[in-house]
Amino acid sequence: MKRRDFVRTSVGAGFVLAIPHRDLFSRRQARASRGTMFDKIWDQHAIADLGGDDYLLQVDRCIGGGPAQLRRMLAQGVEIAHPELFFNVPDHSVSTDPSRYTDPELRVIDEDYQGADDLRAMGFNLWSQFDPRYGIQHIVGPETGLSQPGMLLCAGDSHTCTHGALGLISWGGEDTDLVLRTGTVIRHRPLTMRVNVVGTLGRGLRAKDIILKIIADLGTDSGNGYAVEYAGPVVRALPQEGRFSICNLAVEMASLTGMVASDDTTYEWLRGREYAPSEEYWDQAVAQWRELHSDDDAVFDREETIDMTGVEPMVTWGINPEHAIPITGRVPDPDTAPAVKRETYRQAIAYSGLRPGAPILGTPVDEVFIGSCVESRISDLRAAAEIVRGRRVASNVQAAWVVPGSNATKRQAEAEGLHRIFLEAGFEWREAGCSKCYGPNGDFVAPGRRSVSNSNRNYIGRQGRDTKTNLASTTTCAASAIEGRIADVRRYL
Amino acid sequence: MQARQAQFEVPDRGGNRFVRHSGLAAPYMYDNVSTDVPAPPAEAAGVAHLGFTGGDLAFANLRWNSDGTEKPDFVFNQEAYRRASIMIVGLNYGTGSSRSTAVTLPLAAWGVKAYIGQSFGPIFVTNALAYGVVTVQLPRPTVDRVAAWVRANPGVEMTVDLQRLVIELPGQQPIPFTYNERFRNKLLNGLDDMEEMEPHLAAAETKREEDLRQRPWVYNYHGP
Repeated sequence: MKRRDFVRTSVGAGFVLAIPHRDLFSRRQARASRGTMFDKIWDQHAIADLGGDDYLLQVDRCIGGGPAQLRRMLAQGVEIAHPELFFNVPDHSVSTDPSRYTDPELRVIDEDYQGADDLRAMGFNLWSQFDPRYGIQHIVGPETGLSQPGMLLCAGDSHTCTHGALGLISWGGEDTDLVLRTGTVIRHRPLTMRVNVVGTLGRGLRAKDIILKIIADLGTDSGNGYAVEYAGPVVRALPQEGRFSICNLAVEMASLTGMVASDDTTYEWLRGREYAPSEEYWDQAVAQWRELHSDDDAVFDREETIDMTGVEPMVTWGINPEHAIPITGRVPDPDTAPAVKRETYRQAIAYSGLRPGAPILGTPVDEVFIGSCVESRISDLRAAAEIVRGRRVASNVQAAWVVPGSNATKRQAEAEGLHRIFLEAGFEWREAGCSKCYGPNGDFVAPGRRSVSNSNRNYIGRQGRDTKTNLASTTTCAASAIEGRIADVRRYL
Repeated sequence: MQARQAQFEVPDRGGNRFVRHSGLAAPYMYDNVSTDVPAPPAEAAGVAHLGFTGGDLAFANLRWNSDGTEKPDFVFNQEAYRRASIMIVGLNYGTGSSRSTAVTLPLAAWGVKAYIGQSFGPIFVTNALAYGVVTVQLPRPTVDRVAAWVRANPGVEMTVDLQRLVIELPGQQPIPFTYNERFRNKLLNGLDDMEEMEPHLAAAETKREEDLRQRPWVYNYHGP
């Protein structure tokens, strides 16, 4: 007998004493809907309450099911009920080398995707590097309209939380075999947290600076056990593409997911995209989506307020994203750090090669990386191009790359002539993909070098052997490439 | 070049049992250690040219010099911890990337079957569960006490007992811990997710049918 059924039927029936003792002691208030956006979408997807706040949930979209995985499962006789719920791109493994379409080795790296017409005919969305829709999965899901408000979307990759910026629940770390088999997932219902971002956003600040500030203040572990909604006037005023940048780093505060409620900004951004609801259903879809926001009297398990007034562009100095400081700040001294941080600060100082008390501004950089699922959308490339227009990458910078998030973004940027601005300045203009944020595609920061990167992870060895990563916004990266040192982008505005 | 060590067997994902494990422990008391650290891609770890694979990639950045010799300050390279199969860790261990190799590489390298720490990255916990590895969460003062005991008692094994929900340090009072009841049940009985899902799949089907009517646009892009 399923325990949950048993409990339900016992209520008011006088059988409660029959519940095993351990359950009586361990029972507590079950987490229930208290009017948050997260609660509403979660409840709509709940199939079964498995007890202990664990649920079986319906999945609406899954990034998973690569050709090899699908062929293995089909050979095992697995029936996949709704292929149209799945999409996949070989973004982590395909090179972003400008010669990838002609180089005999690079052009066939994803030949399993290129030869998957039979799987596509079954309804699976599989985009090889040659497909106009190819790109980083967290860029192209929204860009094609496959990701939509109100959905439950899951995947293997941890930055799946990015999609939450459309007002949906998304997370990574899922075993996609099981999603293919069942169309469902089992998850523990997290607590809810709202981060209200208020105040006035200073000149030169971007969404990336906001999320670095949030993580610097709250901590890399602060979202552990929570689903986080980013709200408040500053978030509301952000364009859709900035909201993706914020939610992208939700996993860098260890939360299950990051979300921003959908609104007219979202709907305008989404309308007309290839897989977005057709005009026939558009009004009906939007009417449903408008209900999916946190009620005025919604109760969150935790609320935080971040005031952006007076906040400077942010940059990290250490080995995890909470090691972010204002651009005019100084590298902290482990000896005067809070006791609980000391050990990790010492490791960070030893690894980063920076001197405690030294200003971060002016630190020489060897490489600059602009790309990744954080900020590689068209608006990001436009902003970077504004900074570098008519300028040159400093001679000490040995690699300065711009990597568009998708083939579509690259096409758009080239139509606007942005690529010429980057190339004339001495940047390398790459093909779309994950690139140096995750190296197995062949793109690394060279051993021991320092890279200022607009990506999301500065952990030990993340971008290559003994490499030091300073995370910053796209425009701070662009300015740093020009100066050859970590730079204050406000000088360029 | 240092001889590479023998590797432990890594089981297939899902349905793996954990009841009780006794072994030496190694303290690695840093906070917010991402999965990039225990599980770097071979090329990023800078040891691909040495032909290192599997467990030899575990913690490769911190563990090996680029010529394949050991870095002496890395915990598992120290004599007292070379045979450890339990890791004592800090806050939010295994945050970041979803790669399950963060569990399987230390499992292959040293047979790490249990982690004791203040907290763990949520995806790491799920991956550990799938490979029959436990993540025991305790208040920081208790974790610090366990780490101190480990440093003071080289060569003495401890036991993590999921059945009885205690950590046993010889000569000490057993340390009780709590564990997600569903996870514990799966680990004690070696159940995989499919077995949990199956009883509800008919309900899932019914819900899907209803959803096709309520939100056709989620499914309709191949033509209504």
